[in-house]
This record gives sequence, C-alpha cells and structure tokens, in this order.
Amino acid sequence: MIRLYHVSKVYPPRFAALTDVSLAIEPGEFVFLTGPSGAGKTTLLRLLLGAEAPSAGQVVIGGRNIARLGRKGIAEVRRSTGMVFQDAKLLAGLPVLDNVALPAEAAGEASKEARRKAFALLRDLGLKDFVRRYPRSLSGGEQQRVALARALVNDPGLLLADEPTGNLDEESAQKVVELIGRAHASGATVVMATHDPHLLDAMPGRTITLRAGRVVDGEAGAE
Amino acid sequence: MRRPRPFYFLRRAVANLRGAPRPAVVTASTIAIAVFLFGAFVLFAANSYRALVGWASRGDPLLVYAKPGLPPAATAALAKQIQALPEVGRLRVIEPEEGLRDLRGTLGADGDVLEGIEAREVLPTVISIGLREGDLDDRTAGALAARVRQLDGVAAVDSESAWLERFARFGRVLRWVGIGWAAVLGFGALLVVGNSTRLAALTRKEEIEVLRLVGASDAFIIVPFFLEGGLQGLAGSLAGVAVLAIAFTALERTLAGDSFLAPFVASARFLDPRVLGALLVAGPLLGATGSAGSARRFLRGVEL
Repeated sequence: MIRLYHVSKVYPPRFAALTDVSLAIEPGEFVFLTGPSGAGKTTLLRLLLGAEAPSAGQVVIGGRNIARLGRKGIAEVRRSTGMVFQDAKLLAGLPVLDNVALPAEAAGEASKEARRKAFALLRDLGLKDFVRRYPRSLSGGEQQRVALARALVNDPGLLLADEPTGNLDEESAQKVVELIGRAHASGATVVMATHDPHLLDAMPGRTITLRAGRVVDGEAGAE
Repeated sequence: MRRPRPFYFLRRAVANLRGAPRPAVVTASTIAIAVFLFGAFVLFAANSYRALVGWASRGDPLLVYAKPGLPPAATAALAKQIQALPEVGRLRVIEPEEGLRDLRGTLGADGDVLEGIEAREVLPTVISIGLREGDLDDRTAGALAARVRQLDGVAAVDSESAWLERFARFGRVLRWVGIGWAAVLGFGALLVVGNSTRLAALTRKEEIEVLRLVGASDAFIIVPFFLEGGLQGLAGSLAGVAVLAIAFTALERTLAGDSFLAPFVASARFLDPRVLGALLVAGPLLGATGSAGSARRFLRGVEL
C-alpha cells in the first residue's frame, strides 16, 4: 500500500515540482500518472523509489515512511520495486543477460541463480535471442523491453514506469505495454507515468492527472 | 540469502578493468614506480650497510689483558670461556712474546732499546675479541666488556666503542630515512591511486547510479573497486620488483669489472625475501585501500 500525505518537492532555488500532493494506491492497482511535461510525474515516481526526499509531507510504502529509512532501508525498498526509466538506463559494458540479472545479484542472489532467473524471464518475454548482445546493438524498443525485464527480475510488488513508451514506435510500445500488463496480471502494483492518450485507452486503470505539481483530476484517495 | 561471492566480484572487477584500462594503467604504474624507488633505496642501503659491516667487523673492539704471570693453561681456559660467549665472533690470543715482537716492529730502527727484555716480565697475555656481525654496536660491546671483566684471570678490558657508537647511529639513521622514504612514496602513491579511482568512478557515475537504483548496497558497489585496486597494486608491485631485479642484475654485471667497486659488488645481494614479500604485499594493499577509500568518498557524494 502506498500513501502520500501532503507531499511537496521543491528544487533549489525555488522550483516547486510537487505541491501538497496526497494520494493512496492500493496493492495490485494499476495507476496512470498523466499530465503535460513538467507536471511532476517523474518527481513523484522518484519519490516512490526513494531517489528523492520530499521537501514536506510523507511518502509511506508498506507502512514505512521513506524519509526515515537509512541508506540500507532505501536499498531494501528498491529491491522489492522495479523501475523502468524513459531512457532504459542499461549498463553499456554488460551483456543483456547480466543487465537483467543485476538487481537479483544486488539483492544477494548467487550469480548462477540470478542469471538463471534472468534467462527464464527473457525467454518468457520473448527476448531470448538478446541474452549475449550488448545494449548498444539493440533498438530503443528492444532496450526498453530489456529494461522492463530487469525491473521484473526480483518479482517486485511495485512496478514504476516512467514514460516507458515515450521514445518508441507503435509496435515496440505495444509490446512494452503488453509486458507491463502481464506483470500487473501476476499481482504487481503498477504506477506508470505517461502522456500518451493511446496507452490510457489500451489499459484499464485509475488515472491521476497532475498539472504544475498538483493533482488536478482523478480519484487520488487524498486525505 | 546473502553470502560472500568472491568470484562474482572478481569477475566484475576484471570486466571493469578491461572496460577502462587507462586509469588502471596509471594506478599500476604509480605503484610500480613507488615500489621500485623504495626497493632501490632498500637495496642500496642494505648493501652499503652490509659492506660497512663487513669492513667494520675486521677490527676487534675489545682487548682483554690477562693478569700478569697467569699460567698458559689458565690463559687457554679464559680464552675458551670468552669464546663461548654468544656475542663473540672471533678471538685471538696474543702471547707476550708476540706482543713484544709487534712492539719492536712498531719502533722500527729504535727496536733495539727492547733488547734483553723478557717479554713475560713486562707484557701480559692479551686476548683480542671481534664481535659477531649482528652485534656490532656500542651497547653490546660495553655489556660484553663488563661481563668479561668479571671473569677470573682478567686484569683489565679496553673497549673501543666510540666508532661502534657512530656505526650504530648510522644504522639507525638509515632505518629512519627508509621509513620516511616509504611514508612519502606510500602517501604519494595513495594520492594518485585515490585520484585515478575517483576518475574511474566518475566515468562510471551512471553505472553507480543505476546500481543504487536497483537496490545495490554500498558494499556491493565498493567491493569491485577494492578488488580492482588490489589487482592494479599487484600488477604494479610485480612490475616494480621485476624492473628492480633487472636493473640490479644489469648493474651488478656492469660494475663487476670495476676494480674499485668489485669487492662491494661481490658481497651485494638482492632484496631479502622478507622485504621482497613486504613489497609484493604493499602494492595490493596500497591499491585496494586507496581505491576503496576513494570509491567510498565518491559514493557519499552520489545523492541517490
């Protein structure tokens, strides 16, 4: 369960990325964050990942206030959270299999087991042929699908996706959406930032609209 | 389940080194230079000291005068007692007749004035003592003189300890210069290792951020840096020692033909195995601590 209580985020010197945002997301929900560029979607996802600390208010995930967790606690939260970035963020020096296995290895899995899980996942996602290839040899859509596999390798309870189809052609975008749908169907809570109206129509889910850092539309479950 | 995975981290460290060879070469070269310079100093100092010890141990710092009229059997027993002392390297009994002969030789043409003198009536038996090489210092000589003085049949003991004192002081100075030199070189190498690691960490900033975002602990990120530093240090140590060995052998061959330096070269030896071991351990230690320390400082600056 995710709760945001009157969360604000201000970047120096005085740019308010989020202002007084309160919302609740239940386990297993599929939530779209939508709104124009600069609305605060990415900032909200980064707050949920513990990559940013709120300037005011509280971010509570699974009953734990993120701001009160130390570095170890944040790392634990991240191990049970999968994140897909707009630019994939794959490590150029590692082949696809190692990129996907990385979160499992970071979570303490033996290398062999982590790779076995990564391979099984890549096979399930139809990416088996990519295992030995390096990210630079893949197209944007392929990279994004590999990034999604990496986000799913630890069977996360929460999947965060920041404009995962933003730079993709229609066919690639469709494949990524299908994969995210499969993760949701297997029980993961999904929070996806997008301003693609086709995506909103393609997937059933609750939509929260942000504008200039405030929730302006949608049932945010605010208190 | 978390467990140590040395081979996994080693694999990552090797992959990282292959991915960014330039900072790795800078670090290994710096350590190699530090190891070479320190090794060269130790080599020079140890061989100079050894040559000096060889030269100094030829002189006898203690002269023991037996009581006048001591029977030859008692003199022999006294010499045997002294020879058994652990600090004694060499011992020579100078009978009064030999002493008189020496004195006559010293006087040269005036040696005739000693004509008709009975040696045993005017000169005592003297026992000349040389110390072992490892005990060439004024304290040992003083302590030995005091012990010999207590023995039966000894009238007096002369101790030439002034030069021994200077010799011991020189040894101490050499040791402190070595420690200082090691500290300067070690600190310099640590700075360069730290900087090249920071450079490597900067070039891998994105990788470190991604690792953080997928939940990697600081240890998971730092251990490969630690191993990379260790591997660079090992390569540097091996290279430094190898160059030193080659230079030593070449110098030894070149100087062997020099008549003045030949005796020095003949007694010259390469580094003691313990020093060699210490140098081979120091490089990896320097590399690993410098690299891990720098990576840790860098991680503190990564906000994610």
